[in-house]
Amino acid sequence: MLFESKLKKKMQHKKPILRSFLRFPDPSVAEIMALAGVEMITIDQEHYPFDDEEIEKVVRAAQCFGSEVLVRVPCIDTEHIGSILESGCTGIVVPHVETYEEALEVVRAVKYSPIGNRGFCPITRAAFYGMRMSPAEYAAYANTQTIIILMTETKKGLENLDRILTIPEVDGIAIGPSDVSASYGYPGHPENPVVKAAIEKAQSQIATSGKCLCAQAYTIEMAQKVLAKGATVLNVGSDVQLLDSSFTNLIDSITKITTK
Amino acid sequence: MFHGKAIKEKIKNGKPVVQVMLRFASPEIVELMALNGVDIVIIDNEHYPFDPQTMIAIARAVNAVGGCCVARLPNAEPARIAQVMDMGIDGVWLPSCENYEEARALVDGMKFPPVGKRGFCPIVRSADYGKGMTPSEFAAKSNEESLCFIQIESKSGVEDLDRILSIEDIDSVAIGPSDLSASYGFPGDYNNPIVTNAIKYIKSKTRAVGKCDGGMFHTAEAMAKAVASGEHLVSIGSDQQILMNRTKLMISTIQSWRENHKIS
Amino acid sequence: MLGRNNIREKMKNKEPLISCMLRFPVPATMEILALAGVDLVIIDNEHYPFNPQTLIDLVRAADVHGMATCVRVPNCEPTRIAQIMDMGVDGIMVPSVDSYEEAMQLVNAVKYPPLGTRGFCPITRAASYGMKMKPDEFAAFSNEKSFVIVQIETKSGVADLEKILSIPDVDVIEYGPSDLAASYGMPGHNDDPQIQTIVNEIISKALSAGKDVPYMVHSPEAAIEALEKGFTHISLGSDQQMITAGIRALVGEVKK
Repeated sequence: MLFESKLKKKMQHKKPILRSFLRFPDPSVAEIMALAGVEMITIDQEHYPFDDEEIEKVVRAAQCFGSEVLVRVPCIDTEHIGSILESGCTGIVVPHVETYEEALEVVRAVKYSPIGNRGFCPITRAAFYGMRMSPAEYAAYANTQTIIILMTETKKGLENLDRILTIPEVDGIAIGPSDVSASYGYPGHPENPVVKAAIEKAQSQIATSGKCLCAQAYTIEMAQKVLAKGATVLNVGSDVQLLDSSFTNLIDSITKITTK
Repeated sequence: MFHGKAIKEKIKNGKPVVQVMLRFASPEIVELMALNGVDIVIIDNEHYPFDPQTMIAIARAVNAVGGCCVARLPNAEPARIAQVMDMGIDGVWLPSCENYEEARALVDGMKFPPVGKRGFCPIVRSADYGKGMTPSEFAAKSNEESLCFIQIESKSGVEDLDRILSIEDIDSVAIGPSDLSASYGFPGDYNNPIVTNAIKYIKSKTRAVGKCDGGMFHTAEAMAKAVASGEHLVSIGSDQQILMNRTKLMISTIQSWRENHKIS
Repeated sequence: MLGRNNIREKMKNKEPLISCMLRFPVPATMEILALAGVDLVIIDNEHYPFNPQTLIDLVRAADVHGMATCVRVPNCEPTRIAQIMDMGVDGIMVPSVDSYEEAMQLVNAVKYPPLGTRGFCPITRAASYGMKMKPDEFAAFSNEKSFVIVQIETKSGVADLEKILSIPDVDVIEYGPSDLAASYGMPGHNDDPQIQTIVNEIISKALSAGKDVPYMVHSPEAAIEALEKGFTHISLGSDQQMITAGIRALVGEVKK
């Protein structure tokens, strides 16, 4: 977050944002995503191993070509969240948030005093190494620029959504349909009527609030569907998925010819 | 392999000990600093990314040229402390020490029984891979030489200072002005009287019990003043600050000359 | 990133520039130098070890802030030069260029046909992975924006200086007083009047030929002296020298 965050502005005005997940710890992948037009690159540190030093490299790479990076962390660990933010990434994505209190804990970890209690070191990369603003200016500035996206992935999380949506510092919410369906007792069946109704209700609550609804848009049809529901942050897939589908489709087609 | 005893003796004998905060993950810079008279290098893993393999590379680099290495960790999580100590790092620096319990947790995490509760593996790098020391020698030496530094950065740390200072194994108490100012509600306002009084209080209490107060200084003048007033453990800032200050000095000289001669 | 800050044009137009050498593989250093106002960093891969992946990260750190990058390589070996140019650096520096032929070898390694003989791969990082320009556009762009620094450090280099200066695609001339002194049979006598005369001759001939000539300084006083002599491109030495100077001053205060 070395520069004024374009994403933060877009989220505040609910403008559409193209998002992708990065799972290979390779800065070149981030550069190619950025050049292709991915605006929000989310490093998936929840499910994939990323060295802390690698995260900084990926953030730099994305910034070289005009994109910004968020990091999906494994859990609500205040010190870990604080140290990830020092890389200069724009924000944090936190999975499995179930309660208002947990959401507040995330806000406290991301924002400096007086809003939160993020550890204050005004000379890291995120703070321009202390070379652009006074410490007090930086603390205030960072609080206005950092992005918080929460993932509500369980029945309990959806039930607490109303209260979570009252927290001004939360910028966006994503719903994880697979985990939600499992928590309703129908693992692997997000189309189940009970699950579907719960998800649609939650999507509508988020879309009509001041916050951004973040949703999966792996195909044009999916994109159209979620846009109609009011989603503005569209996840087009990840490097792993896109590499897999491109290679698989190509090799399948060629195999068909070669085995004729 | 231990390097803490030499440091503790220097301090006891009133000899100045220079420490530098390391923010660049560079074994090369560490060697350069130790060769130029820096006694302790502090790996700042609280706010800066240092992966475990990088930390060992840095420890090796500084030890090879006769220096000592301490790691500033984000918290007193025992497994992390034990891993860092096992690598052969000479000590741990705990930032944001809020109370006696956290300071005690640091000591427990660093020291072997009976002093602490650290898990015992006598064939790690710190034990020279089991060569030349019996396990009990390793445990005793490690306890004796490991450096235990804490940092007070909050109102609650100030309020529990007396109890914290009662722990014998704490070697030094440093101050974190950034977080301290934030915890009193004035982030970055270092001249606020509430903040400056808290700093004075921490320093005087620490010296009164014979522990080092790890003061941080960024200019040669401030350092000379501190040494003259009896400070033993002198932090001369960080590699980042040293590079930045020198670069800024050179560039501002050039830019002012150009400005004055109307060259842009 | 190649071409982003038009450094080659700035050198040609003798615009005021500040450069610095990098010896330690620390991306944060690049960013700090850029934020402080350095225009160009020369990564010293002649005498110091840098892994290829680290080099790319260092270039990225400069690119984020629009600072130009150059790598000093040990010699004119074309495949190493091509690989480094493919990372997206702005230029290459080679020490001890002893002859016109060697200088031409360097230019050929940096430039694509028709100006040189560099191997062509239009989907590397330097070419934004092929995602911004057509291949032929990229080749022309790279030839236009990339620069070459030749270092004259030997008697034979001095002897061939005028021919080297006649090569249009040699942009910058540097000199090495220590190596020059050694090459003239006076190792360690950088300040000897004969060596000083040779250095001054290199500087004035290079400037007259329209080349950029940086002047290296290690102190604020030396910087002012260089500016007063009329040098527009000032080199700050290196990260190593600056850290060493800073550490010595501070440790010196404590351990007097």
